Amino acid sequence: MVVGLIAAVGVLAAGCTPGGDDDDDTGKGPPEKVEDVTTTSKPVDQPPASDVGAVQPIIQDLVDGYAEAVSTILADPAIAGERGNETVAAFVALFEDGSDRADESLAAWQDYADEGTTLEPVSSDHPTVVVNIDGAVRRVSDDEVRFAICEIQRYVHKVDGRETERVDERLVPGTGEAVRVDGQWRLRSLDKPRGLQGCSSGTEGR
Amino acid sequence: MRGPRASAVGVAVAAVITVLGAAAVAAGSPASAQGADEPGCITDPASCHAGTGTGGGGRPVVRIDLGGRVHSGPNNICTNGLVGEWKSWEELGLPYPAPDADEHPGETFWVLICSRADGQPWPSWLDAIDRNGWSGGGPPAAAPTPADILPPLWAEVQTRLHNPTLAFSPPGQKSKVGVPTFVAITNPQVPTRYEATVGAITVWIDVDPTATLHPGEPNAGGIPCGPAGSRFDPDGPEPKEQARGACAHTYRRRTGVGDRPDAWTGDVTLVWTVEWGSTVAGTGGPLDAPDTVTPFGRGVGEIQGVVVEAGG
Repeated sequence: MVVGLIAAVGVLAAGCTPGGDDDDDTGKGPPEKVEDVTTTSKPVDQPPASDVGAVQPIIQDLVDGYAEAVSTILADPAIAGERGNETVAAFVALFEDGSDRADESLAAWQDYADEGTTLEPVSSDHPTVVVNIDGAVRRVSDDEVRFAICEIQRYVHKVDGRETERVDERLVPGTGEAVRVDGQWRLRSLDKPRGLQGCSSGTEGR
Repeated sequence: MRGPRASAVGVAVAAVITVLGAAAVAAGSPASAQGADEPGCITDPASCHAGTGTGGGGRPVVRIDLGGRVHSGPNNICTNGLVGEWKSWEELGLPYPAPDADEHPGETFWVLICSRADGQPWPSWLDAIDRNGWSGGGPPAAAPTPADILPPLWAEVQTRLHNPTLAFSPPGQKSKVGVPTFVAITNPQVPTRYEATVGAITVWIDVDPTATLHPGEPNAGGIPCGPAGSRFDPDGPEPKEQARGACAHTYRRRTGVGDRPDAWTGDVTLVWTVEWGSTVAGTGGPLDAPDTVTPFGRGVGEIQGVVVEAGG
């Protein structure tokens, strides 16, 4: 009973028509010329948020990509300054165009490189960072969703090659927003707000 | 003298405190500065600058003091969902003092006695203690939950979702056929986060208004507007140019002729997308807010020309 109590406490813990005369006619005139345009490079539109079940794995793929890129960069933060680096390019591409979010992260990691700080995996079994969507994504509009995340961190913190801290497992809850631009889902934010309590899914995630 | 059973309760109390402490570390100490200093922020410091001080999407945050309007539920619901009964340590008539009694002078050690969910008796009465704590004249108050905080916060927020107030331009009581009419919203409402903190829990409500101009003219569709709508600039480009993408409509049909009304009845509607969340993971979701609508009647006349007689 008391054990149950402790567990419970832990869980708590977005026409102007042409101006004219008084004319009731609308929509008349020659049909517009329609041109056949074949575009081969445009990816297939991804589903709208009204189909939450289809969007959920897409968002999970985005956060997986985030976690993979972060883990790679943390092991060698110097690459954060290399825009041509494959991992860095993949990281930036996760976020919507024009977002400062990716730039802010990369700048912070460049500081790590300057300080000689690295975060390396504790073992080959676990990457430094795993991020799970904590529960179902929530539709805000057909082109925007919000979701909770649980970041699982396992790392060896080194400064100039010397181990300063080892974290076998830390669960950090957070929130995320994704938007669909030109038919493609992209991350807008992944935040770990101050004071957020508890990961619902724990380390099990999906 | 403390007996073995009281020791068990004391251990349980200590264990609960330990778990609370661990949870505080895992979530980042609320008292410490936000940023890379938070243990969990080390993997991506940029993920930690957007705490509850700024709203999602960088929206302004309005903090609301709910005062005494939060009423938490009864604190007698057992972990297994049954209703329990609070008893003082003294009522139990035990031959040993409550744990750490010397550290709580003048307080009472309360225990919540609960039955087993399967109706079977507990092996010992001590097992029936669901939770416990030191308090004054009554059992420990229930900590408010997000569900307790949400209703008064939402009630407060709804009083802040206003009907738009409108101003038409160019000036004049009537619009003119073929000349764009601009509609400004003089009380613009922007996406905002409202939040309230009670105890250790913060609940927030994000409100996002979407404004649409319905001109009221037959067959005229809705026109999306920004929070402040649009106002005609007499010193700006041609009206038709200004009207592109603006909160404006060019009426094409006069009113007050034939069987037409004296004015087209239109409105500006604000549709609110509302979502709440809290610092307790897994809580939150959409909230339904009625549209806020301001109707208007707009008479439409023709441009008056000046007739100059030939040879006059």
